Amino acid sequence: MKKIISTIAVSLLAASTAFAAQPAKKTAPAAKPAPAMAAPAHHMSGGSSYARNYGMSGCGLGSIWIDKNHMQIFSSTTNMMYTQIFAVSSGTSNCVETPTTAKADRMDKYIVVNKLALADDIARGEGETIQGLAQIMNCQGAENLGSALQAKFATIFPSHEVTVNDITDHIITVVGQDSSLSAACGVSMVSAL
Amino acid sequence: MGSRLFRGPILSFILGACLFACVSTPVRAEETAAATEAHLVARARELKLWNHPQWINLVHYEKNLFGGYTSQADGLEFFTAKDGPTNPEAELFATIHALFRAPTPLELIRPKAVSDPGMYEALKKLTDEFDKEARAAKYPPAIYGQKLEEKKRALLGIVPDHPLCQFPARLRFFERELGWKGEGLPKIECFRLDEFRRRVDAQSVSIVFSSFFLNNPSSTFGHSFLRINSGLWQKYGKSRNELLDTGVNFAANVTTNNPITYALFGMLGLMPGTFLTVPYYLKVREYNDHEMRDLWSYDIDLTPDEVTMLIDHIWEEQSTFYFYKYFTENCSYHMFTLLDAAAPRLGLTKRLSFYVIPSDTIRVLYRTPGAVKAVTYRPSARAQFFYRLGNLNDAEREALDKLVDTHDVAALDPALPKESAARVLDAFSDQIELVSGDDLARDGSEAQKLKQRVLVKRASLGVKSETIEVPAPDRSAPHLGHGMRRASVGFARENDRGNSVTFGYRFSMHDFLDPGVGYARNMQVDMFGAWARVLTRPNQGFRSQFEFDELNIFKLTALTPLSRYYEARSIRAELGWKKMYDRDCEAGDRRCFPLNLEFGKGWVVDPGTHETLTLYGFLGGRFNHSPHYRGSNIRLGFGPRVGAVLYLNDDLRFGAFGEYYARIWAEDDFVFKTEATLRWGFTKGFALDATARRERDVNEGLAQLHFYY
Repeated sequence: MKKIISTIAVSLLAASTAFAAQPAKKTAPAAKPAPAMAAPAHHMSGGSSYARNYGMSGCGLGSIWIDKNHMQIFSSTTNMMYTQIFAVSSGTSNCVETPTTAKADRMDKYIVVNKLALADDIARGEGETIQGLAQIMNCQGAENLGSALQAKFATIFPSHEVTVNDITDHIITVVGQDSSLSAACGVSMVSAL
Repeated sequence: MGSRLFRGPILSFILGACLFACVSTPVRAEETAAATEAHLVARARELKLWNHPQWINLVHYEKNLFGGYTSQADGLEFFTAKDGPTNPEAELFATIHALFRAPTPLELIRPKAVSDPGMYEALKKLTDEFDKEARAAKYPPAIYGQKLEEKKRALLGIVPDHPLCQFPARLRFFERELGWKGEGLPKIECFRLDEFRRRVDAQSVSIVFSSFFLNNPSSTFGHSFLRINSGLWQKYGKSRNELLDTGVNFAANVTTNNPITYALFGMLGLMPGTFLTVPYYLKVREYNDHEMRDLWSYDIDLTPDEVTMLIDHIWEEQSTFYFYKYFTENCSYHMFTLLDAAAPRLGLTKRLSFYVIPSDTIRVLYRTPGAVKAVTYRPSARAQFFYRLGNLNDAEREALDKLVDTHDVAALDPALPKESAARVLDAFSDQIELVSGDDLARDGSEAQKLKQRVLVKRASLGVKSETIEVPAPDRSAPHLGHGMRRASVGFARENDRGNSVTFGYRFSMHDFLDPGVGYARNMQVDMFGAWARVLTRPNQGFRSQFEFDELNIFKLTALTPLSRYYEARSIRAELGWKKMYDRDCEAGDRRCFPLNLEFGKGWVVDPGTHETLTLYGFLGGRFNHSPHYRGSNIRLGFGPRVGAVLYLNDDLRFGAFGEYYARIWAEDDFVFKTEATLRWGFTKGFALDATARRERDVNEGLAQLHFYY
């Protein structure tokens, strides 16, 4: 159990360092108009937290929670684990800076747990986790969400090492670039840069 | 309970508004409040409301040995009266009084949210620093969680609730029973309670049972928890999506990782247990996917009022804890106390026997009139894979087998129609999950890379998979199973000692030959059993006639047939005292009663693939200790055990095995035993069986009657 705690702590730390290292990899397309964004971009603000180009830094601890050790969520059936993961984050679904940031934060928390199943469902173009995602994103209707995500599978999951935050950003990008979906899901791409 | 943080800035105007209200009209308001309270108290006294079953249930009172009441709740914040834990009447009046208490200024302030400026960084810093401190101090997990939580709460300005916000269910109960609409109560906004209600958006509730999982000792008997079925989907989708429901779990805050101390603490009730609400998708991923357990949901037939009461009562539970008792006040028991608090008409806890086993509670629930309105099944990842496998035609199956063997996704036959290729890849993708387990979560693992290749290929086909509906395997529906306790009587004849009468009792739960449905077939979990016999030896006293055949602590066997699609883990383990015929025993009849510990790893074949005939072979070791051996007190044996289980139908089963142990430290170099049993469940709850057994030099025939309850 101690091991689990320290690994979680370590993964939290690793997460923050990982993000700190990220901006070098991709440069923010600051000059590009928002809706035509080619790839999601990251930049740092405040030195330690994860930042999104469609809003301010992530709202909850969920935003820095990554899936490096995804399965550890399940390595214990104790309440303590759940407290660690959700007690702090579950009440934070109300980040109000921009609707899309709040959405992204909810998606992070959902995807960190459902990543494997979601990848399966997106590859299949349908499934329960896509319906759940639609609900998390407040999509009204959005019948073609499954097919749209399926068509962009390789964009959303470019490698097996993709982080949760990236998955979220990629999904928002895909939805934002589809005119009917962006309306149905209320995703507006706001460039904060 | 998960909701501890709230949005938005501090609404200082609320404080201002209240100050204004309190200052400007204090006398008037206090008078009304005092008058109302006096009226309510008088009315409650008239009705003797403290005897009301719902009051008893809401405070979790239980009749004690002296005819009075003791509350099961162990956290004292749950009580408003000093003698609240033992005095329902005092607690009732103290609660009414507390509801009218003027709020403190802190209680009126909206707690800070993580999204407040700087708060996110502050929380992260706090967590980092605390982690260093915790590592230095080596806090056990439960303390770690609790201390961190306290610190976070302090940072966010979360203070204990005013009683109005802490006891919404009690308030609701008073309102209904006293014909009152909350007049005279202080005006308080319950920020956190409102957020909780909004988040769960309860429409109905279900009890969810996750089936047995042999690899995890804490779940040997299954697990149950509550699901709050949300109505939020109606806003966004066309069909209900369980994933976004809320699970309510009762679990011990485990303070040890050592299975023996775990068992001991659990049985003695030394670990505090608390209720926690988590997103249901977390439970789905944990049970269905990670542990490969099926989930069975029992939708509870509650009125809307009862549902509201239940949600409010779950909220109340956050201010207390209950010592977790593995066999009595466990996860399943506390799900019943929640339901009883909301709907005393069900009287569920009273229907339980002293020892509470999760699958037992499911049978009780199912039989309780007006409790269950529907049963639904949610397949494990394993069940989903086998369903997909069953839907493949020959060509698809061949393609799948090739993929399983070669992992060469690119070589998938391009001649396959897209829909076929999709079915093959979907099954293969599931299969990877089945065999890789935790590897999939490790970055850079082969499993992860393979899965990625499969999914990219699958997505590129561009066709949608058909939604699969795995039919519920009614045979293993937990509510249909036989009672776990079994009492037996029988008659035996041994070729060397003559006749005897046998008696047996098993506390739980199931062996291969027990009749009926409701349990996984190739599984044996027996815990705490005693078997004995009285020999009809002439001219000897009872002491020499009575002997124990077996005192069993546990016997576990999992028979997982070998398959090209997944890794089979078949094991057996046994611990207890067992009477054995052994030439090394000192006694004249060569019987002794050694401590017996066995462990074996097995290979299982299921030729018909329908679990009608299962053939198994185990290789294992055995440790025996008895003061009545000749020479050394210890025997160590190694050897095979082979056998078969045949399911003739649901109620008629046949099993046979032979075992051979080569021994060291023994005078007789080996022991062996063969045994065959035919068991027939001739009517519900009863079974008859006949056993023939040979042990080294002696033969025995045995006929038994079993009663399951």
